[in-house]
Amino acid sequence: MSAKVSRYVSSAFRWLLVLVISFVALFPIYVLALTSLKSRRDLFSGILSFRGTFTLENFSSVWDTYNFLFYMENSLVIALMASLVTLIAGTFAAYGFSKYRFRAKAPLLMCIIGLRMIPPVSLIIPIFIIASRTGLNDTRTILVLVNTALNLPFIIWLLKGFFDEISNELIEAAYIDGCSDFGTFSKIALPLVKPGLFATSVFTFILTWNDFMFPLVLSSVRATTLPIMATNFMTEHGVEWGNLGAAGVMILLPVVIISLLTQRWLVSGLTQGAVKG
Amino acid sequence: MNRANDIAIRRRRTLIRTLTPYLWIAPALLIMVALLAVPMIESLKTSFSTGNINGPNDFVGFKNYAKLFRQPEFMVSLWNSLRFTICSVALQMLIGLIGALALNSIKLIKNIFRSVALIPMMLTPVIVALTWRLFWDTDFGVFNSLLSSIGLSKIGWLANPGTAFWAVVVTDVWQNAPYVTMMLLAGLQGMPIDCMEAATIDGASAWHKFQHITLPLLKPMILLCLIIRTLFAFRVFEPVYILTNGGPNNATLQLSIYVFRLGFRYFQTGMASALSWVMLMLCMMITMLYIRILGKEDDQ
Repeated sequence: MSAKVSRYVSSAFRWLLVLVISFVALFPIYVLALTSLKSRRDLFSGILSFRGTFTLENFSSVWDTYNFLFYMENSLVIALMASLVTLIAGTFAAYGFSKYRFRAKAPLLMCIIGLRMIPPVSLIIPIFIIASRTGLNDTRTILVLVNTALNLPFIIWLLKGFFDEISNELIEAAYIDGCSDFGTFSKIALPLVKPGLFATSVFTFILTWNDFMFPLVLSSVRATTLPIMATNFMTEHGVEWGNLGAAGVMILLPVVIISLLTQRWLVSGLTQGAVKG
Repeated sequence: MNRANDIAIRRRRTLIRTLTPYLWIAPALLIMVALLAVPMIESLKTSFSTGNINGPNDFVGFKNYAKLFRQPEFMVSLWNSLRFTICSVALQMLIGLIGALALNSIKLIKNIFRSVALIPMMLTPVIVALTWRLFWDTDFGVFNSLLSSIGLSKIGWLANPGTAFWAVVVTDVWQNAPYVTMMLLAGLQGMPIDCMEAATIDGASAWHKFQHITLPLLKPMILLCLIIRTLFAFRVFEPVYILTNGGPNNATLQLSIYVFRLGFRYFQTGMASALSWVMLMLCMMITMLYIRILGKEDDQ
């Protein structure tokens, strides 16, 4: 009897814990969404109160007055290009490291781990100087390149782990059957690492979409992305919470949707990549 | 004639075979060299020169480093980075572990709760920081409206050095504890079930099972999380930049914010580059330290 009671108590305790965790994880997002739906007058009556009616005026103001679409196009193009370039260069490199033997392999792989350790802030000044010299300042190109370079070390190790799981016999059999190097890669290896390719593109897309430090320094007018736009609502006269909430919701929405839909692959990619890298 | 031709062809084949692997890795290598290695070397050169962006750049030896170490802000930012890293990583690990254990123990609709608990991890850091500013805000903030609703006076969370530090820590922990949860959940799922069942049959208490089975088996994953989270907490940027930008009275001035200040507010490119390299060296040291601890654990 008492064992049964204690089991109920411990089960109740676990559920309480899980509910508290879920509440803490969701509450800030709820507050942001609530703020985005309030009119300016309602905001002054208290952050958590529901009085008054919900309005979409913040969304329309962010969309029309603050030209959300312009920043979104920059963010979208930069994130898509970065994940495409990372995917192509990263897959080639991971395949090369996984399925070929060559002298510089081990030292190069160590160097790539070393590159992963560079804090992005260490790169910001030299890259700013290089971008100014080459005229790449305030272009999407430099932001695509920087994000690609920052993601590649992790992605190469992640994808190498996926390629390592393909048996070498399979690759050799393809060679013996007269398959070329590239044919073996594209027809035999690539279809087998689809989950890895998927995780890579989603992961790079989200990280680039989220990037703040590099657009902060490397963009001024033309290449400005959404995270930078969001900080413009912090003005000298205080923060425009309504507009900020609307912009924030619209910036987070794609990230939340994508990461919920692809969570299975993301989690397996991240945990595997971390263990092997 | 024919034979010479044969040898030439064979040589070419060997050459192609040796070059093939390098062709596969060339594109990625090119990008990483051009945008990671070259800039870091440039920054090393700048750290030993006068650091003029446009004018003449003379070699000055360790002058920038010596000057940097004499700045009072340097010691403050180093200390703040260390204390932030320790507090934030410790809390992330603790909360992450509790989260992983709790999520692993429920069976009903567990996938939904797992998805929910992992959401903060992928969110745009700037928006997360701005959202938390809404919590810490003195006039509007969630915390102060809760305080005033129970009749207490408002607190200037971000204006007070003591509370500002913890405001940044809480924001960072909220976003990154889910990463620890995700990693440890993966570790828990790979755990042998029969071991647990045997212990249960032998009458081991829950705490005993945790201490003697779960924790030792999770150890590699825990150490891995420690390395990754430490490196990321050490370079924290967005929450500090958005919430306090190093203030009040430099209470939250971390190394990455100080690099920014040196480079883009004081225009001390030489010192900023020196600090960048100091940061990189510290990151290498942290990793090496952890790898040594990890290596020692493996020997036993």
